[in-house]
Amino acid sequence: MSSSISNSSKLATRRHWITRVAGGLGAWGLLDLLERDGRADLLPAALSGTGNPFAAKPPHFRARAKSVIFLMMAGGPSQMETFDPKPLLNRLAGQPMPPSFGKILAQFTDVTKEPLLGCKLTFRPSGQSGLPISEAFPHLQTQADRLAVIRSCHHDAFNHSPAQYVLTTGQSRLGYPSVGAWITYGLGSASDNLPAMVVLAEPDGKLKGGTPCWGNGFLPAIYQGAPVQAQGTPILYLNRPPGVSAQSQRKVLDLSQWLNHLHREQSAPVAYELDSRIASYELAFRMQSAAPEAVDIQRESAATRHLYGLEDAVTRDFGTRCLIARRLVERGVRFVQVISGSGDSKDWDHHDDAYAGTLRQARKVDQPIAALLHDLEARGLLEQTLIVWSGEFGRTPSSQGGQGRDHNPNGFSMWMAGGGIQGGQAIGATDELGLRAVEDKVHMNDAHATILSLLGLDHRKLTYLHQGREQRLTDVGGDNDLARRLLRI
Amino acid sequence: MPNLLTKRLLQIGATLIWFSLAQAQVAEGGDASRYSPGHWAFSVPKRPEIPGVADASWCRTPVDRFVLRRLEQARLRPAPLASRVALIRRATLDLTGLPPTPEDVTLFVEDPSPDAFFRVTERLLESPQYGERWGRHWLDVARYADSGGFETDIFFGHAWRYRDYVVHALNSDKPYDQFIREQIAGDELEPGNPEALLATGLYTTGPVLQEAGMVPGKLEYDQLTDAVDTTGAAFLGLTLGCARCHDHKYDPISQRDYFSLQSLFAASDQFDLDPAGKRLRDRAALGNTQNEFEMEQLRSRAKRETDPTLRRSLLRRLGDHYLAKDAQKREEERVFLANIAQKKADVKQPDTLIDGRDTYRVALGERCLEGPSLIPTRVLAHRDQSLETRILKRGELDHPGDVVPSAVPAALYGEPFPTNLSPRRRRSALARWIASPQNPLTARIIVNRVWQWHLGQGLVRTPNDFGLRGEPPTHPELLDWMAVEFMEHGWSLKYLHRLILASSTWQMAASADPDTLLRDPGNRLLTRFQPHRLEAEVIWDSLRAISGTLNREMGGLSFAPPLDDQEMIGNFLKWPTSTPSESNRRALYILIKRSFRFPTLSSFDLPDNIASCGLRDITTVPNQALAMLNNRSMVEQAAAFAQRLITEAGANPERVVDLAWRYSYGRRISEDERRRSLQFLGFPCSASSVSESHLFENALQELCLALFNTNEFIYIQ
Repeated sequence: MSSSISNSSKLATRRHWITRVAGGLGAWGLLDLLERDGRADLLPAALSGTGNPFAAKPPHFRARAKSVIFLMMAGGPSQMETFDPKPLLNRLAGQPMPPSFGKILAQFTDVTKEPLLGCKLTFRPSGQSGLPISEAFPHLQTQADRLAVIRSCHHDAFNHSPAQYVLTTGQSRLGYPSVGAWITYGLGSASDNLPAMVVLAEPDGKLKGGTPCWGNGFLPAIYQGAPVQAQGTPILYLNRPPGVSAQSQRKVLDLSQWLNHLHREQSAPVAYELDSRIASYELAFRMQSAAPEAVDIQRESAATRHLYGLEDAVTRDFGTRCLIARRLVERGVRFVQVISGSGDSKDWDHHDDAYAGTLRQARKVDQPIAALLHDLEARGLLEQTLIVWSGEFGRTPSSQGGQGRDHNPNGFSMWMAGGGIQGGQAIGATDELGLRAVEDKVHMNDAHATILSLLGLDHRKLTYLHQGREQRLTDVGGDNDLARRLLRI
Repeated sequence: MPNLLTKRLLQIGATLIWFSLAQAQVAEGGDASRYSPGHWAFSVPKRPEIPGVADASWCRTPVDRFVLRRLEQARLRPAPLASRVALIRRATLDLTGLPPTPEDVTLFVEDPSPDAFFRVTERLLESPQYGERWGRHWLDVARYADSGGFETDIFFGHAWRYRDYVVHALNSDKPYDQFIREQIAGDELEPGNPEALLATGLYTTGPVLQEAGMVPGKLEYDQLTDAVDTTGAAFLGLTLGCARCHDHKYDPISQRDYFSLQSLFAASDQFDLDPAGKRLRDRAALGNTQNEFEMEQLRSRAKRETDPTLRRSLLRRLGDHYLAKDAQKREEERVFLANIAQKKADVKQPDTLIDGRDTYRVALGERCLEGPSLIPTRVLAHRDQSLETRILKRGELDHPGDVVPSAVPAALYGEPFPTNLSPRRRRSALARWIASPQNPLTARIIVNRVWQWHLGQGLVRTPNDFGLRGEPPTHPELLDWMAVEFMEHGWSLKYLHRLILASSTWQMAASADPDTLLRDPGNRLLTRFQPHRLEAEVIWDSLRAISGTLNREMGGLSFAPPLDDQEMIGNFLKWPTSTPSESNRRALYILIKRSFRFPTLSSFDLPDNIASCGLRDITTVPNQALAMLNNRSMVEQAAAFAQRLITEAGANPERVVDLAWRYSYGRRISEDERRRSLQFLGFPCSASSVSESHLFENALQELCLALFNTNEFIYIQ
């Protein structure tokens, strides 16, 4: 890790790194580092590592947020129906797009040939700030003063999977670490018995981009997100097989750990690596009781459950996951990725009907998200928890098949809240029809740089050597870091 | 606003400066050798003198001389030789990816003849499992997968043919230079040789972004990019990809060089062949649908299935798939069923309808078995019209620059590369240039890989980067000596294995005293054998081998072990579950989908298969422990292992635990371990009979599971 961790010398950084993190990394890599630095004398420190691969690490500079809840709306919500009102669009509805807007590459349609589709949803200036939010989100309207909407997001991947990779990894190609993996790599976890990064996908687990959306890419596998299920077993292989009790598993573990200790005595060259494996078994054993507790929403009060809409069949699923997300950040999980939809027309991909689709899908997430913001605030957690809401792209102002809208990565909306952010503001703008981001453009690289900044990480310094290059989450971009402008002064 | 304007102006300025620099570099003809005069890896390896050492008695092969020389210079002593038990376990896992059987161990340990270990090595090198184990290593480098990745993640029903080619090539010890030539240009060099055609599967199994087809030229460009990047990484150990967008900052590869390399592949495309080797269509579809894949899967199973009931059920499913694929057949079925319904309506026998339908489906399935494979062979072959290759500014398709000729990077020297190549000779020229003793990189790269796969770490620790950013070798003379030796012995990989395994260096124990550990912590001087964790696939195979459940069937279409709902999380597409009889085949044959890592193994650092992987990560995460403790297949294997122990050792707990240790670790159980494990099994004193057999069996299963979860089991040392 070439990030210059806040204070002092490289040596102190290494020492810290060794004692706190070494356990999880390829141990030869560690030894190489020591040796290359001519610091073989530090070896005993390495050997005494805690063995917890997720131990917390300090940020580059003062962090405003300690954890992130990333609300991913898979399929691409329409900016025109949600957070980016376009009065001109309604005036020109039914007409072709004025030629001055030019062409974009959409998935199925030619935007220059299709008539413009007006927005049937009404926007209301909400909160003290008057931030306009569509009527599809009545509950979020009450939280307007907490939201900072970025209306000028853009990138150039016009299909779901590549765009989901851009949203989560900054690159449209496979093989890159997700933003949560980068953050976990940079900061570690603040939990001793839970994964550092948790993914709460739809109950069927389906997402067009698949596991790379929370993957470790070229980072070591310890940084991949752990999918946690709201129903059933929260983590893959967390449940003991039928008929195996905690005691009998402990008995098995005691025997294998006893053998591991004997073996370790005879394996001096990899003793630290073996220590780490021994420790990982203990963490796994603890996770088996900690993780079910963390996702057990039965422990929440009736009022809280009501707040998240758990009694309502439409909001129950996403509400449950938002509530679990809160419980996880409370317990020190660094990054929680909550996913609505898979990227299909039955969720956020509104090729057929942007009006009905937005209403239907917003209904599922609106109350839970508003509840999450309110609940975090009430518990004093909002200040240290960054909430990010975004789809993988937006949609076209022109229609598809009459009522639908096609994919459009050239301009879309994202919002952030919590983590010290000044709510009630909108940054950037799309053109008058919402086709392209035109003012203060924010590429996903910029959005990622912003997220890292709010967590105290410098996107230029958070690097990892891969294929001969010091790779970054933001690649060569990220210059438009909005953090300073977003923060409450 | 002023801010924004200033920023914009600065951006424009920067772009202009960048642009003029880029132009200047291109104008210089891409000769970037000035960056790296004398970089060790860019000059042809010459056979160095075998060094003298003080203690020649330790040295069994010249390899050891190079190693000991360094140790003596550093005043360090090599570790003692490993025990015989450790040696045979190490050799067997190393060469075949499977643990030795207790008989293998006994035979070797009790064999007093001086060539005992040599004969073990020979036996292992001759076993077909050798090709499976080392084939898997090569497939990492070849970024092999059975699907295209991304959203559509289309199936590559043809990919296994390349995988089997690799396994076969290794088993038959195909000379490595020929192995290279066949993969890059088998079609050009040996058009009549079906195996050489299959070898080009290296280029038909890369990732495919199907949607790229919407942008004209993008799919072709992606394919060329993958071809050049994979060729560079796999054979030359160079990360060429950086030069796609700009001149490589560190290595002497200019953008012009990069696109000149693409041009070598620009006359080629993927084509499907019929069984006679004739080209099927002009342009192959990008991949197969799930239905096609499943049909092929059922077909290959039904052909091998001997149980008539199972066979019938396979045929029925095959018939269903056939109907799903073919609209005309669906109509036939409708008519067929209507007829039956008509006839039987009076008799009121609803079952007959089902029976009739069943027979029809089975018959359809039977018909599908006829004829050749449903999924043709996919190879690299020539287009009618070669694509024009231009330098793309910033690597972007919509910023084309000058047309570039086919060429190899000038700075890499090697043999002179022919100019004005006919489009149909371009890849063979590249193949010859790479697989040449004059190429400075080729032999060094593979020798280093083989060394790494044997010893856990290479002499160069950046196996896919021998450029200026890569690490220098820890033993440069040894690397060069082995490279020359390897080439002079017919580029034989088996020769290289023998050379390494016969050395005292490889045979050292995995031990070190504290002083040595402090002075050589990373084992860069080779003071000992560095223990390393088994790869995911070897863990899978070892579990099954010792439990006696391993199905050793080789080759053919990849199989998909059953997964439950939890395991399917994250998989957008259906998993084409195979028949249970295949569940315990070697992990090499498990279906590799690029968008979905096989869950049981995913926490054990599988490669991503997007780009060539020269060195796998070795991480330690709690998810591995959960997978090893709670995954139901672990419980199944533990039960099978327990059953095997009881069958083979009888109901004698002492003999049972002794055998358990010999299977799991290759060694005998120690006194302490025996006491502790008997206690675990409910025998406080040294008992010799079993009163309650099912309690004993349960406890034994737990003991087996505990053994699977020990570090000694999953480490080579």
